[in-house]
Amino acid sequence: MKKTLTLASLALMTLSLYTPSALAAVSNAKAIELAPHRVDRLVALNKLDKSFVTKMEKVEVVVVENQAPVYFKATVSQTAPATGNPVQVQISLDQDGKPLAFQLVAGGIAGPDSAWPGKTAGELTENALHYVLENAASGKIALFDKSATSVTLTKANLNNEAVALGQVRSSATTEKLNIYLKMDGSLIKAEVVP
Amino acid sequence: MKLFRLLILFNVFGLMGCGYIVYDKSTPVGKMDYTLPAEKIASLSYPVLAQKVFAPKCISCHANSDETSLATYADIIKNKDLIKKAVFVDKTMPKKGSLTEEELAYLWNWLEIEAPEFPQNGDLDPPLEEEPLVATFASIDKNIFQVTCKECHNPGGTGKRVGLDKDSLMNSPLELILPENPDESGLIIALERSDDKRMPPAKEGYSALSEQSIAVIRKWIANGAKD
Repeated sequence: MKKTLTLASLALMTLSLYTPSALAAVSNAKAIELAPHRVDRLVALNKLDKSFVTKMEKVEVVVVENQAPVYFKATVSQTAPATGNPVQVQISLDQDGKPLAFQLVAGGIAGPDSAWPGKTAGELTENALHYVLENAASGKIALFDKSATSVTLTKANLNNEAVALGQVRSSATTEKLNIYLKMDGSLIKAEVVP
Repeated sequence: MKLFRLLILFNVFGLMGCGYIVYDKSTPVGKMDYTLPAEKIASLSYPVLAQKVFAPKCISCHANSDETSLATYADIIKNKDLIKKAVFVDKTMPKKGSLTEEELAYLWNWLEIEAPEFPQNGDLDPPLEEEPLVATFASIDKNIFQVTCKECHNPGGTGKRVGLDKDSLMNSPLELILPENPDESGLIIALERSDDKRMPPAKEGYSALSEQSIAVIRKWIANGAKD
């Protein structure tokens, strides 16, 4: 009986090591950060409308199962498309974060154009994620690295100054990570909020 | 009275002392010893300086045909005094990195002898030819990445997220190199784009890589980026 229990425990522990999150070479936050890079590349290659870079609003990521080699699916939303109804772009990435495919999908809700004055929305989103990646080893930030689910970029006001706010959400906590950036993309501060 | 005389003497000697503080603007500030042997100074010429200093340390930013260009001998002669002031007096150049003691000594002495195009010793043998840029990683790394990019793209630099060693280039999720597909390789896109994401970055004073350099990188990728 004791032997059976021990073997069962070992089997469970082994299985837990092979859950999807243990297989990835990059974290969820890194997968989110790679999505704006991919969008920028697709725009540079004229495969995607430029407004996905200039009006990017949100990047969501999910880990998918049984779709190898696809490991992550990142969905990028924009506030307003150049023409027509709002659409999103879905990017498939492998476990190393390498892009595999992309497709436009119906969805998203058109909102006001934030008209970012300095960096593009895509660059600001990347920069917000850089904070997470560079501080992934420290305390609560780790939760927003491994288990990040989305980043949303909005305009905010901080000390009477218009700033960019990248809000990162995680499946590991109900708290949110607010990352405040100047319009040139440089970090002002970051804080975990309820 | 005795104290008064002492004060007078003190002031007189003090003022005389001030007379010895002569600031020669042609003298390098903070570093005086750029001595080279006379025979070495006699061998200095534009090709030597171009190979040793201007090409590796200046051209990446000063290659444009504007007034600060250092691309030709004529450009350098035109800007000779500015170079001296910026490097040795104000010490504002090079903006990225610095010159070694040896490079400073070569530049200082060459400028001091009026920046001759040919060596004063009459030796017209050209300096050792630099290894030409060819479509291999080693050559591209040595002639382009190490000269122009590694100032930022190193583990402590602002470009630390994008490594330019061969492994990083080949395996980056940013798809910097897609063998046999230069058109879609991130490295080529970054070098050829005209917006503020171009590399090397214009906002930090860098010129774009020359068409010839980009063509060699393209060829390396088109050949499969193997060597």
